[in-house]
Amino acid sequence: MVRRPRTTIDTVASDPSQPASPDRQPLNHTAARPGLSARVLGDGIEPDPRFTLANERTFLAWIRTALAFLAGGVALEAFAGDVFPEMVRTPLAVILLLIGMVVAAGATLRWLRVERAMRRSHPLPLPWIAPVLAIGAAITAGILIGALILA
Amino acid sequence: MSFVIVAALFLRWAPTQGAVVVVLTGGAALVALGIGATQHHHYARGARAIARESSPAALVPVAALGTAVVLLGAAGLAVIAL
Repeated sequence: MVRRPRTTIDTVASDPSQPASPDRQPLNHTAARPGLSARVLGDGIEPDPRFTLANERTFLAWIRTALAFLAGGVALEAFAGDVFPEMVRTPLAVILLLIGMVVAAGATLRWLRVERAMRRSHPLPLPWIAPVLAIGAAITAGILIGALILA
Repeated sequence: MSFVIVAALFLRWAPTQGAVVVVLTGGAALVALGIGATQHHHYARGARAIARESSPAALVPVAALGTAVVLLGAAGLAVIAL
């Protein structure tokens, strides 16, 4: 098990020589978490809030990527009627929409897995969305290049 | 803003798909409105979390946003299939 290195915040929080701030909360909030969060996230020690917020920002970045794919798929089907034949346009749009959905679902699962790993001081999980995204983009580009060559 | 753009793009299908597209556009616009209306609250929550050194995980907003995007994609696929 790999433990995260102690941060300045951990040191300060556990240092009895430091004056206790009246609004400082203990790091372990497992017992105080609402029921749903406790059930989904499980046991563990609440990580540094910066890590939690960084995990949330990463999730939002993936969601923006997913929305870009959704917008691309919808735009391709809606606006490119004169550019590509339907047998090329529709599969491309479907692939883009599927990639967007997979990225969004994967981002949500990754957020959850990272949050659990941080709470238990486990190593962070590998981002399997990245290779899925790369393969999907490569397939899309391949179809597009093939269509342009055959046109 | 991304949701607003997707919502606007859905409108392009209105002449061919009819009222279904308005529902999709409305749904995406509602999600965008929800994000816009709560962003100040989320920012303040993050700032308070750093100040108190305690940040509860935003489980419900994350799950809701992820589900909304997946549903939006499924709706797009359904419109293409129709």
